[in-house]
Amino acid sequence: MPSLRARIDRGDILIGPMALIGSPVVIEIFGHIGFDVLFIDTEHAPTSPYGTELEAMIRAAAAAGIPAIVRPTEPRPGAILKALNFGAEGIWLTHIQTPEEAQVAVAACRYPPDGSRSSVPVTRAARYGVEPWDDYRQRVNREVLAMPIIESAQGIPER
Amino acid sequence: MLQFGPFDLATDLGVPPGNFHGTDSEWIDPQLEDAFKACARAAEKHGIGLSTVAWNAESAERQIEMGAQVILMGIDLVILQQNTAAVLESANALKRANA
Repeated sequence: MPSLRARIDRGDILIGPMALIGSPVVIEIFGHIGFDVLFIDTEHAPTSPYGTELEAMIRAAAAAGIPAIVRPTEPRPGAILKALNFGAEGIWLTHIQTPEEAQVAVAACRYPPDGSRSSVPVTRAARYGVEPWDDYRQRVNREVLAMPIIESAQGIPER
Repeated sequence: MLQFGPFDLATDLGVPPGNFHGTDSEWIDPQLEDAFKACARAAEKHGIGLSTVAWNAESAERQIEMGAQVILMGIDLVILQQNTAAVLESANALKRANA
């Protein structure tokens, strides 16, 4: 199946629901029923952006063939790193108001030299080191969606 | 990809955010629409694409026409609530018919 990035690049319209309940079962249903994409929220949900609960939800999405975009509670590098290491294909970057904030948050989604994401090959997203590191690093730097959310008047682009 | 976040944005602008339950056929406040169009223009200018949130299919279609490519539509909690209410309504109707 093409990646989320590949489907976007070829111009597909992609529609999918948000998971707030925190249930891998619900996420599997969303995937098997045929949605294009899944949004996993940790900002307004009981799900922690850091632990195995989020990992289980992302694993359920993968099992059901639906790419997961995660919204960490804040656009902090540590929370972004967890979601990406678990296998999220996109990150919602909350409450971005300035280009500088966007640059820092987007950089946290990319490995050096393109960004500042902390490097380790033994993660779920890197198939625990089975995928050659350089291949993996280049692939995810190209494919991970960094998605600054415009959700304040200050953040609205110049009109 | 840029993500349009209408709920917090509406709160910040002091306008109605729309209807989470998708039962309101009206889209969003004109100020939100202006903000959406500004995001769509910026996304197109930089070639990064635009993602958004739709309360219902009508809203989604309108936002696709204005440049959205990825759309959040449906929330598990709301789907559960709406379908549970529908089941309860059927159960109550059955009880009334057999009272």
